[in-house]
Amino acid sequence: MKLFKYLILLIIIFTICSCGEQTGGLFYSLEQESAITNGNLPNDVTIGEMVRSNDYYFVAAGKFLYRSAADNGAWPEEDVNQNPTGYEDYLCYDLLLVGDTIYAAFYSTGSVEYVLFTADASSASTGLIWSSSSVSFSDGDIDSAENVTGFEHAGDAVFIQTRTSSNSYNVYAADYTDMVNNGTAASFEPIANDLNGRVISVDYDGTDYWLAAGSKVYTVNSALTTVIPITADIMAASSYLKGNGFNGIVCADTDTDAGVEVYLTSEEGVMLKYIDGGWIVIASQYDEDTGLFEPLKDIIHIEISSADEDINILLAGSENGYYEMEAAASAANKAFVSAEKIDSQLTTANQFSSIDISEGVINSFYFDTEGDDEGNKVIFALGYSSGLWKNSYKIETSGNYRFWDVE
Amino acid sequence: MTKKIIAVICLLVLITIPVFSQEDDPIEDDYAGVVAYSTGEQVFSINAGAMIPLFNLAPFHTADEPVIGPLTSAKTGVAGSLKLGFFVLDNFMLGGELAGMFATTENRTLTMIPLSFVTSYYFLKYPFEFPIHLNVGISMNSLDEYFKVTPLIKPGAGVYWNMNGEWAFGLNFDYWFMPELYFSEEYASQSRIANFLQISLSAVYHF
Repeated sequence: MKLFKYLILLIIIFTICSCGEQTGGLFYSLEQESAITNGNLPNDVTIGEMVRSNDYYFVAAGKFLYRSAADNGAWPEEDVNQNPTGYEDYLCYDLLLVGDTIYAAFYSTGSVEYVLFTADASSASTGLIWSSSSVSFSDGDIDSAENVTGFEHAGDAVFIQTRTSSNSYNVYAADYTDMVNNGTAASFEPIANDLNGRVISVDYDGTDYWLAAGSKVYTVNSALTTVIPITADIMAASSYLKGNGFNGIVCADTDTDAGVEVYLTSEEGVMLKYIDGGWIVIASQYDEDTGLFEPLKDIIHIEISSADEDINILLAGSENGYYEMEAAASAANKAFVSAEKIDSQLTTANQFSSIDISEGVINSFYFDTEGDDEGNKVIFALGYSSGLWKNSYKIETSGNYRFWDVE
Repeated sequence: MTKKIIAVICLLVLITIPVFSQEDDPIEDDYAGVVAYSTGEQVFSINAGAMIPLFNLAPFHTADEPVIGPLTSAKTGVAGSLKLGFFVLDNFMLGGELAGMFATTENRTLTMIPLSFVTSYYFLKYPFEFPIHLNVGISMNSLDEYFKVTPLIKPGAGVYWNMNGEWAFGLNFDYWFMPELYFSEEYASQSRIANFLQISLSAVYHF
């Protein structure tokens, strides 16, 4: 009889309240849920870069592909090849948009040949016309085995990375406006030589450029004339850093205090912030006990304001989707939440939305502030063998910015 | 949504018509001894059928929010249960039920496993019987890896055909009320009372 009383008591308790491991309502979540759409882009492709010009998105997805930016615009069918004629089998691995001109880098695995093409993006509606291209270097043409391996645009500068015959990397920079006016005749100046990594990430804080290139980090003045190596200062900030490389850098005015902060992600899973003249570690995926770490990829700052909600976050790509951090929090010890964990920590309804994205590697992001034809801001997550993910933030309805569809 | 609610209410009314009409129609004496349940008898039933998500009620909704919300992301699923009952009075049964339901949503899988006390009263008109019952218990609910325990209140009714003195077969309609209430300021707005309708076939063994 005692047992019966306890059972009755238990039922009364459960009648009053619900319990579970995670916060937020399960049935409320069902009310909010909508289907994740899966577009016609293969879900296992690697997206090297993405740009938007006028009403078209362009991606380096192994093949060069483009589609209308209108909502639900379809990518070309799998048998359609939009590479330059004669280069259909080449891999497109990076893109750069300068004015209306697209620079596309292609690579042939068979002949180990890198080729560069340009096209007028404004003619996308009628079909791109490609031109074989090269860029000019102030120290002379690069040697035959030295090839462009990546582009970055920040502020009023364009940075190009090349791989040399000795398998190291150089970085060059040119004035963006000069490139818009003079095209490939614009001259690239050397910034750094003999780097040991091919990833470059650049951002501009309004005064200087911050450049992460392989295992080195530099600042470059706005005139592109003074290059200051700052890697040693960064390495001193954390014993977890082993020189494996820096994958992302972003400048953002995220805090309430004055000035722009710089955020840097590393291959060892450490995220650092430059503030008050020094580097501090603000998040780490480095396990001190095991020495294992989850590399952090490129990083982006997203700031969206709507009537009901202000989004001010940092997203860092990772081996398992991405990590998210509130950017406006205090400088240190911010909550750094994985896509997987987000589901269990969300207080909002779409607890399902980031589950699938956590199953792939996200290398970088593209924030389309122009948005789709419904007025939504659009964030793209560029995957490594995990396709392209799209996140439409519905300004009008304060949609959930953690809801990812697959392109 | 309104049509759905009206349809459910009509369905419940229709179910109960034979039950209440039975009150004015005494059991035929010839058969009363055959199917009437006496104190001490037991029944074991197996039920299997469909689970239809209906709607959510928002008990703490604000003036701007609707009281009724859709459960459209959940699709019609399957449900089943095992029930053991003891007649503590003539035609009045107390027992326990272990149930389970499974449904897919737009992106996830919803599973609910209720454990409940059940009380039933049987109206009889041989060869048919019309049980009405009320379950009260808890339900362990999961949505993919997320887990919640909520209370369950499940009124229902059925119509069974007695094949012989031991076996009966029939149809059950059960209405699942599942309050998931939060009283903290942070989550109160996510409080919901989920409403599902279970329609199932039953096989009942008397012993």
